[in-house]
Amino acid sequence: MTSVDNPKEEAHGLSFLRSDKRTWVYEKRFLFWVLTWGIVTACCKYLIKNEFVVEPLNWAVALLPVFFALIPLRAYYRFFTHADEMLRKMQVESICISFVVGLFYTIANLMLEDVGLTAADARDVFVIMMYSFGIATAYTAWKYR
Amino acid sequence: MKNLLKVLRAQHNLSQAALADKLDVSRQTVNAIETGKYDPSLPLAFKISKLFKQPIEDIFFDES
Repeated sequence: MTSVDNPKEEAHGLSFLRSDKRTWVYEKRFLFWVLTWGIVTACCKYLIKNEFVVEPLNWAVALLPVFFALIPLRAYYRFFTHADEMLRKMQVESICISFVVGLFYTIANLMLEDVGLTAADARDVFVIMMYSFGIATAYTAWKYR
Repeated sequence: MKNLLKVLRAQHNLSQAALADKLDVSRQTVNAIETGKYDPSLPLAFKISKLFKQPIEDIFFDES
């Protein structure tokens, strides 16, 4: 960190702040790995569904996206830990909101199952959590704008 | 919590972006602190204090 009293330190290339650049790099890395994971998952699904791989190799193919998911998870963790502190707060709030929405959906579904509602699929909960995370991110961005 | 960040920034003729760069945070963070929407972490408050050479309690104070 520099002091405000040194005029030599005032010259900055401010079009792209250090913090913004760091966030941008880690965010893009994370998006790249998410996209790669999506492609790997789709390929594995295709191979298994069309029975291109036989047992026991199909187990390995099925587990590949699971272990591959560790890479985007690590990329997100790096993005999160290197992010600007307010962005971190926004991410934490968004994660909390999506978790609570997912939890409420699961509890509500468990209760409504008894009165005839179709049981919730794990994928439904995931999709609901992802959507609520997106909405929560937009909300927190608006809140701290 | 209220603060005098905007005043200090103006006194030192710094833009929000310039201050953000010095503190290694985003311009949005500086803006949110100035408008009172976001309270900085203790390390960031210390950075601000060190930058403007003023005690933390002179920059940040309780609203009540």
